[in-house]
Amino acid sequence: MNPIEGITYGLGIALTVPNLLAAFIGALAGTAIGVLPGLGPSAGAALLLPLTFTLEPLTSIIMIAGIYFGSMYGGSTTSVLLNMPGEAASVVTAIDGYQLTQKGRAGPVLAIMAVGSFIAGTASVVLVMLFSPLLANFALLFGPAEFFALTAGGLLVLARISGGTLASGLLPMAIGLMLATVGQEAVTGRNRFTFGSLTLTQGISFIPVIVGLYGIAEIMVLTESDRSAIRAHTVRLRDLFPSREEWRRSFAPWARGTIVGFLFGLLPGPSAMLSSFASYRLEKSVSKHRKEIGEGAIEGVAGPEAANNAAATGGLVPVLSLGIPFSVTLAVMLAAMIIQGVQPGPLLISQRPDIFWGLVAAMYIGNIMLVILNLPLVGIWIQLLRTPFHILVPLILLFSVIGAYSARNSMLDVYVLVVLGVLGYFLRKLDFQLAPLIVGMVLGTQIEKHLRESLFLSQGDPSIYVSTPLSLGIWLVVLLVSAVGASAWIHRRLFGTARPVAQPDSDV
Amino acid sequence: MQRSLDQKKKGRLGVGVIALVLSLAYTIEALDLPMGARDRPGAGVFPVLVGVTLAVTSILTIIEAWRSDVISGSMGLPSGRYLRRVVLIVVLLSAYALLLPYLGQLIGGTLFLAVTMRVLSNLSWQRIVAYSLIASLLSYVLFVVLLEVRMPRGLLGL
Repeated sequence: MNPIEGITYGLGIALTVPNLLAAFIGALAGTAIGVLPGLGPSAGAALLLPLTFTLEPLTSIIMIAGIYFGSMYGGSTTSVLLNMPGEAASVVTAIDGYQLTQKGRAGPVLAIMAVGSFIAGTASVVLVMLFSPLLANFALLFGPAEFFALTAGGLLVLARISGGTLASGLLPMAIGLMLATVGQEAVTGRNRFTFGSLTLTQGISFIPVIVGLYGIAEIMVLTESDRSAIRAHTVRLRDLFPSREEWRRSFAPWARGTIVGFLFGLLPGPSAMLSSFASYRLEKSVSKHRKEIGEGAIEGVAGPEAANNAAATGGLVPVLSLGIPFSVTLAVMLAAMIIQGVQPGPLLISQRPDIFWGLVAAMYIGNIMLVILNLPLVGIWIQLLRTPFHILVPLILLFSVIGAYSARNSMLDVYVLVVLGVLGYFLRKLDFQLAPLIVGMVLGTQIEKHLRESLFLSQGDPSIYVSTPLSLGIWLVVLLVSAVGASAWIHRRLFGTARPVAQPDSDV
Repeated sequence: MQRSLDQKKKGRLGVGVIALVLSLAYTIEALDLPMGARDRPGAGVFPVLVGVTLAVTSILTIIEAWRSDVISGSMGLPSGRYLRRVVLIVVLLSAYALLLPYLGQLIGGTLFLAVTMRVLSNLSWQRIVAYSLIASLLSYVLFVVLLEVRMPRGLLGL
């Protein structure tokens, strides 16, 4: 199927009432999650995941994708209006965005952001559509050794790139891998670390782990201080239109941001956040108005917002064509597909074209829906922000417990939720990175499978892991990034310091 | 040279030590699993590797906390009534989780909402009872009735 046939086929599948409704509900719930403090994209998506179990596979995946993109939009809205980034990827947006809000340009900034995200999102979907089949065809040549290098190496790079010291990413990664080994093992059916518990033979569910680490821990941080009622200015629909000058100045940053974002999305790491920083720095060095950036320039919003959306979309390429997620939210998407009996990987596009093209089409639809949702409804999102804290916190906790329980009807998952919440709180206070823990947990099973299959194939010869140019190449890159100063160099380029100690933990 | 250990370093040292103990227990348990042959690796191979990785990274965490100053300073933990509030939230959440099988979602959830709201605000009890009843009933209808989530019903069968 060529891309044109594919997208026509995909639109035919996606344009059904349940799928459109799923995209709409997902986008709506996602935006609310992004706007409200306490739940980020990953915790929100994980929490709502059990509710999608009864849906058709494609419908459920479309809904999760809607939540993901919606929460990114929502997070940016609060960062512009209140200088309160809803998630790590919109931290830089707050710099110029909030300054422009104070100059009375909040409406146009929101419009530039929404249109920029739409353009970047749509352009990236086209790239996903073109790239994924190519990568999938290439990946058909991969053996277990290459997949082992990609999964284990990718995880190591993620742990190093996430920020902080060596141990800050590697220790959580090891804990995640450990959690993945609990339960019945796939090859011989042997129970591991179950201590006689029937529930544990199914393994530890990642839903309470994510909601605990990101949701409960965040709630604990929120209750540490008093929060005064939020007073955001209402933005009227007619105030949304940018001036001709603002439009003109946004085109180039959108284009640059899209390219930067998409490329970051293909690589392991907190790509949405890193790409928004990268785009900001790029605008600061190449833009015609670079001197104004930092003091309220539209370029400082247009570039990073396009970038983080393109990165979020670009991240789908490794998920769909290799089955490898490089961020927490993508790990949730991967898990959603696996639960529905869809195994992403090189064979997905040929074996399940309905899922691949349906999702691609649904992302076009979702992008349109988000622009429609975000611009006219901005007043409602501001109203939502006024929900009193003492109502919001108990409700989020209640929903978290219901969500954790509902995945498998298991009280064990509720206990895991509470324990991981407290653990996440302390790990965060101690500057550990949580993303490697989650991605390690989700990838653990695959890493083990590829590790064992490789040895099986080579009849016990461990040199198989580096026997082809590709696997050797991947390991060299991993070595370069993790051992040598490459990660310090990347951080210096992006953040201006070699070792950002207090870097926000990113889940997107 | 005597190095001073501040809050963050002590905390990371603690995490490192706990993780090290955990890794040892885990690896010992993993060694009981079948290792298989070299060309047919068994169920124990990967866990042993993970256990060793965890041990190495724990030691790394301990060394970093001990020797390096990159991550140091205060943990920014709350104090006074804020500390009490965070602890209370965790205690209430744990109590809700532990009592859920006995109380059921409707009663357990309502009680949890009411007490948590009280901890976080100065609202009168009348309002709190009203809010928590409404919120609990609405979420019950949404999740249990409409979305058919089978929450525990408790001893009263609610």
